[in-house]
Amino acid sequence: VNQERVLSLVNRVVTQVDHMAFSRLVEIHQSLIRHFLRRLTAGNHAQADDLSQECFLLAYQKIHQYKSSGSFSAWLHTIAYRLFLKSIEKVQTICFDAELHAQQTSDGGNDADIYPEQLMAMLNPKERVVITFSCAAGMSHSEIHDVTQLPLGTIKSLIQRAKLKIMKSVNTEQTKLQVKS
Amino acid sequence: MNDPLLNDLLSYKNSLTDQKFTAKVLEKIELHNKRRRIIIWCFGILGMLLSLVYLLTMAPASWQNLINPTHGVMFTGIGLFITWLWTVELYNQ
Repeated sequence: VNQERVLSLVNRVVTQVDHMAFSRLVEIHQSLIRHFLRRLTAGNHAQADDLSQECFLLAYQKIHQYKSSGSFSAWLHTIAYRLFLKSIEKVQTICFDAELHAQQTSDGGNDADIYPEQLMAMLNPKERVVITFSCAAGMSHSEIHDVTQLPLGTIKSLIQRAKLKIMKSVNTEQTKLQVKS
Repeated sequence: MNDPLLNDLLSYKNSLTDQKFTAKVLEKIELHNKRRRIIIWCFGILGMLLSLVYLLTMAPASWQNLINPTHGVMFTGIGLFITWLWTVELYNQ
């Protein structure tokens, strides 16, 4: 995403209250934010889309608070992350139910895209958050610290733990496939 | 994270850009602005009505009663509040 183009769009929204510019910002960032929240909710597409909509609404209301020193995408990710935290305060446990997942993803869901969500479902919310920030959003440890306020040591160990869990699951899957064949 | 395998495992293959989502977000923004305008109008009208009632109850006693420091502060406060509301409303249009 061209940061200069994004900044000029943000500028148009702030100074001219340009709805078209904001809709362009939504178009540019929606895939990133929706995928991010789909990972965090471990494939609950309905909840992820609701949170994404809330995220953009909040971004619209607070856009004058955005400081151009950081990327707009990171700012949106921070909002999305906080909304996700709020949502899990209400429902403490998120479980992965394959049948429910199949129903939720039936609206245009893709088989190739279910696998990352299944992997995410094995992790606890904190692990999901750091691995998603690190992997999908490509953030550094200090950037993750800025967003989550978690200590750097905790971030590193959470990433390590999440990575181990994922690799273990992938290896088990591969072994099963080899045995079958 | 410099782990291509993990990146590949956790990446989504399809983009999720669709017009319906954008339209829904804009619809929500419009609804939010509408609700905000309704609240501002309701409080504005209520404020005017209360001010009128207050002035009418004060008027028969003596108009000079209206000119005192307390009322001065109160009217300045109301003036500033209305100015702020007006500016915020215009800003959000």
